[in-house]
Amino acid sequence: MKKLLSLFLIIVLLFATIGPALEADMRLTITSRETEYVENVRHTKIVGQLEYDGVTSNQVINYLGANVLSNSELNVVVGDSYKPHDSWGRGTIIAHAEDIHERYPNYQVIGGVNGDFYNTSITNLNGQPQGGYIRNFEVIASGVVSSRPLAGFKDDGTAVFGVPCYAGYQLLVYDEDGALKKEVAIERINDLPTANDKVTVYFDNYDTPISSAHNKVIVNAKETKMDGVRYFGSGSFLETSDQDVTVADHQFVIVGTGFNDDHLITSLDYVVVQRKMGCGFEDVRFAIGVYDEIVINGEPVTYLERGLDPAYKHPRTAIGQKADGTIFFVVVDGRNKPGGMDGVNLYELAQIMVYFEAVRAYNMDGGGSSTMSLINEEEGYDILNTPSDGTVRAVTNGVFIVKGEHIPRPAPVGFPDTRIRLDKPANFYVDGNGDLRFDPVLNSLSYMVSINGTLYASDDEAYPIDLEAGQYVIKVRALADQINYRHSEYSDEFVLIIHPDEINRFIELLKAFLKRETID
Amino acid sequence: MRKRITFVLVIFLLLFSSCQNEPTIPIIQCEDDEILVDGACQKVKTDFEKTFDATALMTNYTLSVSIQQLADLYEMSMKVDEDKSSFTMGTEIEFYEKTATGYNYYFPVGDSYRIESITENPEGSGFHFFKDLEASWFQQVSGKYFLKSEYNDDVAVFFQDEFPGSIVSNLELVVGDTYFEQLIFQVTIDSVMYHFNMTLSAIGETTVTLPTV
Repeated sequence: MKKLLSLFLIIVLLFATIGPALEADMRLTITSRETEYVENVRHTKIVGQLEYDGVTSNQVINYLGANVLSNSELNVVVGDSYKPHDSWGRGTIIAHAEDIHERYPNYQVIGGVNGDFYNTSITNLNGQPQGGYIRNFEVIASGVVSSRPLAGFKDDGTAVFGVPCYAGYQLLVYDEDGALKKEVAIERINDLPTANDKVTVYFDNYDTPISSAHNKVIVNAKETKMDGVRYFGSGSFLETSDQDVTVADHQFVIVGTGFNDDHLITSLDYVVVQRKMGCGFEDVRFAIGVYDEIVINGEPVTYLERGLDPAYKHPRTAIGQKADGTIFFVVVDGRNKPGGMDGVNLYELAQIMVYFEAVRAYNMDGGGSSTMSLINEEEGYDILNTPSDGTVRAVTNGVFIVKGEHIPRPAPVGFPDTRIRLDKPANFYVDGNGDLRFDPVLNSLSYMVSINGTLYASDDEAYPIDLEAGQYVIKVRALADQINYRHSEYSDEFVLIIHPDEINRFIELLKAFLKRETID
Repeated sequence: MRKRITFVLVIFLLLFSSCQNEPTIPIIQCEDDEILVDGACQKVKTDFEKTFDATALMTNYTLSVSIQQLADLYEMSMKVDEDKSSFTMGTEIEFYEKTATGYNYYFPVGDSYRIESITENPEGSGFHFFKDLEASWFQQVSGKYFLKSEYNDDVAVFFQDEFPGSIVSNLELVVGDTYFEQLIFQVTIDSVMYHFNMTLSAIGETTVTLPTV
């Protein structure tokens, strides 16, 4: 359990009949208000009565927020439980948090809420979000409704809200270090190029052979998302062909005249086919679909032309931003009058967001989807609100405040890459101190040690091994400045068997006996 | 007159010299289980006792060792070829070679070996394990040789440097015609029991070839 850096609880029980007048149009009479801080993330729960537009209702309101602009250790990340292929899929926000941990070991989810509205009516698209969805710079979804706004989050802690632009498709080729080698415009999907300088992509929903003499690069897809109109694919090089090709399941094929004759895409590379983002969303690392803008320049909206039952009381979820850069989420419970959870309409929700000092705020999926989670002392997650389904609903995605810095995106290296690749580290052994040693690599700055797939940094050619008994596969690569030299490939595998401590000591006794036999 | 005196003296001398006694040779009576060697009785060693002497003098042999703790089995092989030796566990082999000042240690690095010259003496408890065993420490039970319990602590000395308080028990010694063949025993450390099985083989036929460095 990572320590909760700060935790304090303030319980204020106010039995006054009249609470503070917070907005001209709204009065919130607070029965109880509890605030706690977990890893500098604030959670406040308010129970009370909300009076708005002549209507008084009982409310339970949960707030979760942090200033991700001033605190570089905190960031906003989106999560999902999507299947890699064939469908989308849904999960609870706790499952989404686990997905984040699995994808990104550098983040620890502190807490979050449910995200976008989603498709439930079409079986093979169940869980498809209605808006766009960007996960670690990858445009997984480009919006069933392209006019739906997004909440995007950049590496510097700034947030971008608004309707994005989707400007055609792009093929992005990254080297094994994640540095962009080249961006290629994709002319169209599931069709041949119209000119020699055009490139197209076929996905596995195209079930007839691609009959042409074009070059074809077949990619083993790590992930594909498609609905017949919008496409996303990522993966690694499998092979090239200039023969007729049928796209196999979980593959996509890049087609073009002479494409890859220059070996742009190699077996070490990672390629992405996605919609090209614009209108301020070019550099967002994470983005999630939202819906109605309910606070504009610090003012709550009082009328919405669209939205899901804007005038009806439901459980609601919203995301907001304060003037100081704080990002926060609010979940208001509803559909539970006996429990004092009447729910709010979107105008009341807007008032609540302003109460929490939002300068911008957007409504997200609500109803039974409205859920807020927070990490507990056992590193599990507590659901802070009372979901109206009586259980935590599986939703399309979620948005979370995480502890942990982003892994910087390498600068583009261009193509062809003229940097000199460092030699692979070699000649591994473990010395008497238990340090893994290998020969130094000329011009390397440091090393990356992979032990059973987990990466560790090493400043020099000695890496202390402190492992429990077991068998370990170790690979090391030399790291370069990436300007004049590029990182080496990973070394050949070195298999290390660690015995239990007692066995190691028995072995040392026997070796001491053997040495004496040799000398005496 | 002078002739008579000379004659008497000659006769006297002859008589005197001829009367010296013969030297007496002492008779040594050895016990039934002794033999006379260079004028002293020495106990006749049994075949069992002779194996201790022969084993202690071995300079060329292979010792296979297995250590078992519950389901976990660890196997290793030690080869001694005069002033060279090797230690094998799994696919990894280390070599030792006697030098004028200590020994050379050959250890695998990648696909080849590196050498490290070490001048210090190997660490050890002083008790040279099976080579320091004594025949009198054993008793025969049902045709098998077991270490008498009062000597368990003497053998445990071998382990004390690494495992203070360790207990050796049930040490069984299997002997061949000339040398030890096998030692089986348990070592208990903090209530955890390790079963040792040591087998001697290839005595006089073990070859250790040092790697090229």
